[in-house]
Order: sequence, then C-alpha cells, then structure tokens
Amino acid sequence: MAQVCGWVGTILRVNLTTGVIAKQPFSQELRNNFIGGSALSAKILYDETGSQTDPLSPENRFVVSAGPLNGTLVLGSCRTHIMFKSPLTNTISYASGGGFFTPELKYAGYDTIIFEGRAREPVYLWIEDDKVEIRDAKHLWGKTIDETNSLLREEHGPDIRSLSIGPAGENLVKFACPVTGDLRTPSRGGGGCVMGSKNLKSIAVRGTKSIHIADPDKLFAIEEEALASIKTRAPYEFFRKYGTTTLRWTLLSGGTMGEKNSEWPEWPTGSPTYSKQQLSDPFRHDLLIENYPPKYVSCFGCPLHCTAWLDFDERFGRYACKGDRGEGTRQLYGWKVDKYAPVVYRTHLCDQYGLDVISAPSTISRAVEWYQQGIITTKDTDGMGLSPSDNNTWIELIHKIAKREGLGDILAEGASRAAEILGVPTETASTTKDLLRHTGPAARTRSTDIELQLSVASRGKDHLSGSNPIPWLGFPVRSRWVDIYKKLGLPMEGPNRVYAYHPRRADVTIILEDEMNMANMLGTCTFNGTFWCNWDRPEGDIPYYSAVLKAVTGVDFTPQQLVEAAERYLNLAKAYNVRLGLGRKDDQFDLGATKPEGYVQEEYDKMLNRYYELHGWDPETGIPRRDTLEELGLKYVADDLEKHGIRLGKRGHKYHLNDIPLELRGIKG
Amino acid sequence: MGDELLINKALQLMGRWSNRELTDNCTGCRICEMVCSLYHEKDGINPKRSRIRVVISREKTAILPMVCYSCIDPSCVASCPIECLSQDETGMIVVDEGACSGCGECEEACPFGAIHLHPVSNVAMTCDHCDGKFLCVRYCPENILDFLLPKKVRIRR
Repeated sequence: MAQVCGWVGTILRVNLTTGVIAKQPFSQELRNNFIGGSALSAKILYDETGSQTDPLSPENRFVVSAGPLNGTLVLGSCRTHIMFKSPLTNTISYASGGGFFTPELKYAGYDTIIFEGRAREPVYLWIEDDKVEIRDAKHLWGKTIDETNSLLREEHGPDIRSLSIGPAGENLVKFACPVTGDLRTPSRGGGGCVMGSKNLKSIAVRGTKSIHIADPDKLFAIEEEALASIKTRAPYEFFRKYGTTTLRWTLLSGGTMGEKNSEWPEWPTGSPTYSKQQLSDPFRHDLLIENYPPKYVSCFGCPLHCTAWLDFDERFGRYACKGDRGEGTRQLYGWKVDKYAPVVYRTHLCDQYGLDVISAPSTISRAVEWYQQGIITTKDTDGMGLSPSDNNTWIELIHKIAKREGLGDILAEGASRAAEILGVPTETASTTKDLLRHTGPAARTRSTDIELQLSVASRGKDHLSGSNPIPWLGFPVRSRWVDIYKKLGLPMEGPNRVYAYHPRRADVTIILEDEMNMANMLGTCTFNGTFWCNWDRPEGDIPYYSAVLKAVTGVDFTPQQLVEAAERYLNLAKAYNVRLGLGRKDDQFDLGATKPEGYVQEEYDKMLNRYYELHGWDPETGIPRRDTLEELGLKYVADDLEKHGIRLGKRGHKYHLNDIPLELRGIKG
Repeated sequence: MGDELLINKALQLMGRWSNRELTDNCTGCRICEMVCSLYHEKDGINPKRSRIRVVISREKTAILPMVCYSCIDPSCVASCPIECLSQDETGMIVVDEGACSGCGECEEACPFGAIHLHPVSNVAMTCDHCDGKFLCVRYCPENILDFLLPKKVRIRR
C-alpha cells in the first residue's frame, strides 16, 4: 500500500466521559473529499451534533484539526483549526490561530482530534507519539496560560507544544478561547468555553515522527519560488515591518475605521479630516515601531513575522502580541486613548486569561456606551465609573469578565445577552449570529461589499471568510482585485463611502470564500495568500494550492476539485445552521434603529439572491438545493435536511462551478 | 533530554555573547530546520531531526539558531571515546556512523549544542553542509545565515 504523504493518517477520538481513546484511520475517501481542517471538522459537527445539542453539554464536539499541509515546508503551514457548536451564537462555529501547535500534532501522528463527553474533574490530554493519555489537571486549574505552560514543560520537557484554556474558559465565559504555548489564539466563537465545559484544560504534545512528502524535490522548488515571489509583492516589506499595527492607517485610508463602539464615523473619508486623523494618530504604525522597537517573531514556517515581543516599563512588562498590534488599537479609536502600553497590557490579559481579544473589548465597549448614555449606572457596575479613556475601566472589566465577578459575570454572557439581562432596549436586538461585534448595532459602513460579506458567513459576522480586502483597506489597491472588479463590471466604493449596489458583488464574495476557506482545509495562513501579502498574485491562490498539494501528498487535486471541496465545506456549514432554523433573516446586515443613509433593502436583497443562486442554494430562502448537495456528494445531507422538515426548493437547479468565470480564479478552462 | 541540554547551552551562550549581535533578525520560523530535515531524512519532515536547531527564550528576548561552528580544536572530536568523529579541511565534523555507539559524549561536550543524537537511530548528527547546498542559508527568509569558509573566520572556543 502506498505511503500516505502530507496527511499522517490517524484521527484521534477522545471520550472524556468514559476515558476511552480511539485511533481511527483517516480514510482515503474522507481525505480525497474533505481534505482536512475545516471541511472534515464541519462534517463531524454536522453528523454528530445538531439542534438538540447544548453547546455546554457533553454532547457537543470540540474538534482540533490539521490539514495535509500543516507542518510541511509550505509557507505559513502553521494554522490550528478548531470547530464546535458555539455557546455564544448557538450556531456552528470555528476559529483558526497560528503558532506551533498543529505541526507538532502531526509529527506525533495525528491529523485531527475529536473530543466528546465531559471529564468528571479537570484533565488534560498528553500526546507523545503513540502514547495518548488523559491526565489529571487539578494542579493546572485556575492557572494562566503562561503558568499552565510552565508546569506542563516542567512535567514533560521544554520542547512540547500545547493548546490550553485559562481561567476564562474554566469559568465558562462565552467568548473564552484556547491559547497555544506561543500565545497564538484561535479565538472567535467561544471554543475555550466549550473546552472548559468539558473540564479539558489543555492538550500537550510532543511528536518525533515525520510527515512523509511525496515529491521533496518538487516541494523544495515550489517553496523556493514562493519565498522569492512573495518578497516581490507590494505589502511584503511593509507588513513585515509594521505587522497589523498598520490596521488603523489602512482602515482610515479605506474609510472603514470604526470609531468608539465601532460606530463608523459620519465624516467622509478622503477629506482633510481623515488626513489629519491619520497624521496625528498617536498609534500611527511608524511611531509605534520607533517608540517600541519590536523583536519580531514568526509562526511555524512563515516569513511574515507579524507577531512581536514588546518591552515596556516595569509596570507593563514584556509581551508577545500580534492581535493587539492592530486589533486593540483599532477598537479604541475615538475614545481618546493615547498610551500604547496599557493597550498591549489589555491584550496580554486576554491572552493569559484566554479571552477573545476582539469580543472581550468590544463587549466592554458596549457596556461603556450604555453607561455613558445613562442606561446603566454605578448600581450595575459595582460602583465603577466606566470611562472609555480611563485604562482602569478596560483592565478592571477584563479581570471581572474572566473571573465572572459582578458586572463581569453579566458581560461574560456576550453583549446581546448582557443587554437583555441589564434591560438595555432595542439597539441590541440581535440575530442569533451576532458573533462579530466589530460593527456595532448602528454600523454605517456604506460598503455593499462589507455588508454582504460579513452577513452571510456561517459563524457570524466573519471578517475572515469572503472578506474582500479592498473596501476594508484602501492602501494601495491590489491589481488582481482591480482586475476582477473590472471584469465583473463592479464600481469601487471607497474611500468616499457612497453605496454602489451591484448583484455581482456576490461573485467577489464567493471567489474569496472559496480561497480563504481552502486555506482552512489545508492548514495554511491566509496572510500568505491573496487576502494580504500575496495580493497581486495574478492567478490567485488556487493554482498554487493545487501544485503544492500534489508535491506534498502526491494526490492530484485539480483547481476545480479544490473549489468543490471548499463548496462542500460551505454547504455543510450552511446546512448545519439551516437545520437549526436559521434562514434569510439571519443573513442580514445589522442596521440598528436607523438605517444608514443610502441603504436600500431591495438592492441588498438582489445581492443576497445572487449569492444564494451562485452557491446553488434557493435564492429566496438560502437553503441548499438537493441537486447542489448531490452534485457535491452530500446526498445524505439533503436526505437529513428533508427528514427535519426542511424544504429544499425546486429540483433541476444546482451549483455550477462555471457560473463565476474560471479565469477570475486563475483556473484555465 | 536532548532538547533540554540544547536549551541550557543556548542560555549559557547568551550569557557569553551579546545575543542581539548574533540573532537580531532570527524570528524562529524554523524554515531552516524543515529544509534540513527534509533533505537528510528519508522519512520526511520533522524539525527535531534537523542539524540546525532554533532555540527560543522569551524571557531573554532571544532567538538563536544553533548549528556547528566548525571550531578550531573541536570539543566533540576530543570527547569521543571511540574516536569516530573527525574534522575535514572545511571545518566540517565527519561522523563515522557505522562506528558511533550513541554514548552522547559529543552532545554534552559541544558548547554550541550543535551535535546531537538522532532521535531514532541514536547516531550522532551534525551539519554536513548538505552536499555543498547549504540549504538553510538558501531558504532563510531573513538571510541571517551564511557559511563562512575556514579562511574567513573560525571560532576559538
């Protein structure tokens, strides 16, 4: 039998209730159809959980999954993918993070771990090649991420890799996340809360086996070329130097910088006000580098080193952060915060507690706004005055949320439920999929691209699935995407934000969805793809993925087959949510009490109809059609949906790969 | 245990040398480890089977690629009880793999943690210039590695 290459061929199934650990072969059929990562995980979630599953119950699954490219020479082959039913949104959810954990899992011999059940007491999973043990974690419980890793290293050696929860996950904070030993986090959706509900503190691993490579010479050649060519791309040096601290600059240029509680400003971009904002911004990326010289740190196999160790004074210490280099400062825009150290400290706290660095501050941000508006008072805030420009407000509330103390106990439920509990009126009326409270309740992006892309993602308003970089980041516009927009006849909207509806924005969303979700199946980081640093790779990512998969696995996945695999994933995730009762009403942009100027529901609907149609879904309901599901080899899903009383629309209509011109995906006819 | 030894040596080294001079730009991506293991190992990739090893200490803000420095009067050669290590004219340490007993004396003796036992075969392994290809030098995205021939520089320990 031919040796399996790329994949390592084993799925680990761990039942925390019974303590039974089973090793299942990762069959060729599964590998060829679902590849790995997100697609395999979605199938497991679909098959084994559903509307009856309470996300915090033993019945929920927590799936940690690698792709065939993880741990190989492929650039950015570091990603850890987790999937679960989310306690925050009650929908399917996933998260992806960098670091060094998943390659090690593969070196130990496992492509995927599926957790089910609940341990009676705190445990961790210890993996050392063939040895897999559930071990007592009482001595780790209550510890921060660094403390946990210290203890694990003492026990098992300094070269292990780990994925752990902190106190936030233990306390079932709804947006708690697991954190790797190198402080990277697959953070959205509350994966840490699911781990905590299973009493699973950590997964620690050492792997001394190897990943077989089908054609090493070919892999050497492809990656040497990939390294050489990424260095020629416009964003490469800029991004490596400044990392995500550039977020504020680029969002300002693109006119998509949210202010305060992520309200988008009313002043038009491109105006002198914007330029003044950019130049005088205390968190301007070049000033940050000058004042706080970073020690650059990479994730596994990646040349971009978008993370850094930063040194501050005694009070704030030394931290590793990527998220905060951009995300934290972005969220504080408009609140008159101008000191970097406390902002980084905030991220550090989130990392140590295991809290989503987007959801935690944005939930606090809502509370701050409610307090400023007088909707809640010091009676609700344990006597604290909530002032946005006061560092203590942010820091204190992070502590309280992680420990579920006082107001923190309410905020730990997520912004929407917190609003209900506190009696905050209508602006918080949210759909089930209210995951990504980047955008506040009254977002005024005036970008039809953003509004469509965020609204349709299965886990909630997801900025990493089908998220076209052009409207977010004005700098400088990318040739591949300019070309695509031209060919589709789409007007550019930024930076002076005026709605320009066009149904074919759906085409762009889907081109991106397929490419970005492919990375989640393969195990690579989209920063290496056309989403960011390879943005003017003219043929897009798909031909590259096809070539490198062949070199690594020996299996010939044509670009068309890769698109179909991505569609398989998108259909499974959609079917999951449909089965829960979600529908068209949940794929709407969050408008709040008053619609933004220029918003036209009928025009949005046309884009949404086309989006559904292009996926081979019923354009009225968004439900995947039977013919589409059967075309993609998911007949059993069609049968299952109908068994649940869901009508799959007219026969005779299905997904067609060619509905979007193949050349836009770099695929030759 | 090999890796613990390696990390201890790296930390000692950081004490002796200014780590910023050596490693300012290494970001710990481990691409060097991957190309090294992929080239040498029939089995495929595992950075633990590489002859160049990157050691990381967040506490000391240091990331050090550790690889054979072709010492003048190498400790590893001197330490081998059965004399199965030798040094050629380029400074490269040559291992008589058939003779190596896996005792680990060389691993302990090397001040750079640059020679260690293969995790499976237990035979000593160190940088062998990958047949003149110097792959780690070629693939390092930061271009911080370079192979310097003996007449350019040799380190006295």
